[in-house]
Amino acid sequence: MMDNVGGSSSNIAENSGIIREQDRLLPIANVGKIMKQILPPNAKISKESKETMQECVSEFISFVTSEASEKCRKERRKTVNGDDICWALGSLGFDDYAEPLRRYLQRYREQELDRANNPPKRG
Amino acid sequence: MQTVYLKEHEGNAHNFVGTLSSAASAPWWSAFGSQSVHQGESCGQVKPFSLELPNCIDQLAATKPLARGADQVLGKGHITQFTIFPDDCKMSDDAQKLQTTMSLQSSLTDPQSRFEIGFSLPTICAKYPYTDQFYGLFSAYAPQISGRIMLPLNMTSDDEPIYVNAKQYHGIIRRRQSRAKAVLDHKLTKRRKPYMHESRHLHAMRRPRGCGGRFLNTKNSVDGNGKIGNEVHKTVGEQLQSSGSQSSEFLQSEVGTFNSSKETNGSSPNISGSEVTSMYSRGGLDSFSLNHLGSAVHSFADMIDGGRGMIIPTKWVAAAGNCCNLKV
Repeated sequence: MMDNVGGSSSNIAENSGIIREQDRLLPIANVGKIMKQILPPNAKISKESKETMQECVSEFISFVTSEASEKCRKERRKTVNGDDICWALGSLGFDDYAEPLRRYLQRYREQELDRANNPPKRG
Repeated sequence: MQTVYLKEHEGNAHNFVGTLSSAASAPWWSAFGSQSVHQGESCGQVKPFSLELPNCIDQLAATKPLARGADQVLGKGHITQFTIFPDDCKMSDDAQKLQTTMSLQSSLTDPQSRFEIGFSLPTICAKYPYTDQFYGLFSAYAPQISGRIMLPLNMTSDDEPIYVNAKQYHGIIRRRQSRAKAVLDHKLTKRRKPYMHESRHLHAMRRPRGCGGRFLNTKNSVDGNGKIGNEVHKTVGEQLQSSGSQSSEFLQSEVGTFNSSKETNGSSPNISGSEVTSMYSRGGLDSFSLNHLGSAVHSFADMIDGGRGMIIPTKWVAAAGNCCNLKV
């Protein structure tokens, strides 16, 4: 909810309450690169395909985030963290995605902890 | 027989007053004997009262405010006429039949209203073919034991009802409300912008493009070399004009031509072509003796040899054309 409020206030300050395209959707070049990873090297992707996938993935992100945000609202918390996202995926029926994401989150936190304990040397 | 009819009229009188007692209504519905409990639940007190009004209006053909007084008069009239004429009993039977048909129609609409009111009615077996929507719907990728929930009909763009994962129902409804709110606030721009920054767009439009529409990156350096050649051409022309006309200088220029023709750089043919052009024009202007004419022929022969040894660029061919024209 805090992120949404910040986003809306910045939009109001800049464009009088209009949500810009680059704020609502993922960058189309990045979407194209991710789509290209799974395809053979000589495959081509039309712009219509990228735009359609751009809409789908952006809506999916809003869908999962909305579920996590609702849980935080009920528990009167302001910060949506990784555990809330994993819970939201499980709550919406995407159990096959929740488990790999939980393991990824655990590994990510371990890396962050190692980085905090061993700061890079300044030479 | 007469006592039964009197009771029915008493029931109608109660309807007119507006207060229905269960004891009075039960025998009235039991007389028809068709799903009295269901009809009792579906029909309210207001419906039979409204149904009877048009019958009274049809009988008397009077206005609405007068209808109330007419109802009271008719009530009394029915009681009085009943004792005298048996035809009124048939008319009252027709009115009751109309009430039963109306009640049946209202009972038919009840399931739809129940579906509309109760969004969270679970239905395990899906009777309709499942259709995926492009925007805002996420179908379940695995079969769910808990069953599916039907989305409300008025919110879907399609006419068919859509069944979704029960876990995702509330999320989908919430997202739909968020998108509808964004559309109402005119925050979403449906059409896509071709570019985000005007200045960057103008700069891109000014950039030179090659065949196929792609921007020129390697060809720009070639054009730069061409410009450098032009500058050298101007410099050489100035030097020749400033210096006097002597045979030793002509010989030096011939040696320069040989050196430049041997090199394989892109800029060298431009320099040699310009030198040959300036020499020839200067020779024509001065009009010296046979020695100068011989030197001119030598320079032309050298030019031909140089041309054969190398790939002729466009400017070189143009220079050769100019030389031929000058001879004629």
